[in-house]
Amino acid sequence: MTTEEFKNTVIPFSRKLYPMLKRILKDEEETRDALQDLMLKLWDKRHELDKCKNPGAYIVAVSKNYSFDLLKKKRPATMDEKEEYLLFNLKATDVYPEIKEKYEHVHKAIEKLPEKYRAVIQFRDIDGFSFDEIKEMTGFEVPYIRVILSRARMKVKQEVEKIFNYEVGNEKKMARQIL
Amino acid sequence: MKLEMKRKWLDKYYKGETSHDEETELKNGILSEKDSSAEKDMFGYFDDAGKVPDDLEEQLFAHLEKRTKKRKTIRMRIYSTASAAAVIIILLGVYIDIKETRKAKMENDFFVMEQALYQVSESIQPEKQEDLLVLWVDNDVEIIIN
Repeated sequence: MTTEEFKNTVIPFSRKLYPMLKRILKDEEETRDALQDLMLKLWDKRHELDKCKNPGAYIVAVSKNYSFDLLKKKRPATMDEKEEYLLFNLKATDVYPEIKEKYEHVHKAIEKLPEKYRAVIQFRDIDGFSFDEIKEMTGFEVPYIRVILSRARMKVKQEVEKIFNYEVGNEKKMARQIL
Repeated sequence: MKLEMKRKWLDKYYKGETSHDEETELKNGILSEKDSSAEKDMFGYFDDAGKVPDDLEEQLFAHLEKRTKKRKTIRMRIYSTASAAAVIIILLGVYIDIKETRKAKMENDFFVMEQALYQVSESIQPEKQEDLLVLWVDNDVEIIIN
């Protein structure tokens, strides 16, 4: 595999891996460094990648092991770091505080989910992994992943709607008070 | 996005049956709507949390190229140092061998020459005189009998 082939087949995976690693490391610079390191690891394994029937699955498997190593090394985040992560990661919402608040609700709703539900919805809806790639990451069969994903999405929607209704209720309450 | 289509895709979405393309289209459709909804917040959040720096791929490739070139240079340096060392060892071996051969040849030639000179010296030596009996030796007189 030449560097050009690597650029066209492996490097594009970084778009899916970046959000996943960022969730673990909670820092842009560290995420970039980790991705660079991961790409070098994959470059070293390029001969094995050449032999693979499904290079995508192989890349995902290597990335999964790499992220597990990162998780082991990374100390557990404190509440402050989690808050900081939220603040720094919802960049697009810096300008619109009301949107930021809504996104925070969604984030919290996802955080509340059981681990496998959370992982599957994050892999699919944030990172954009395919079902086969999620199968490689989680070890679950595709039909089961679909079931988990369905439940996770419904749960997040319900949680978000609860807050949304609450806010509407609040608005009504405030309007009554004004009147 | 048409309401009918949106409902159909949302139904599929919540069943976990949508493809990537369908999800992208659904997401774009809902995000472009003016009205706020749970889906709009969810898709907006997913979009935001999954944001990737624009230059990510280029930067990763540039870094990879730099590192592989560096590795190549280091490898080439190791190879060239190893080759130079091997050449020096071979040349030294050849030199020592030549030196030893030359020394042995010189020693051999010297031995042959020594033998030859000895034989020549033997051949030009006068015949050995028979033993003489010295009867008298003085400052002026010496009496010897054959």
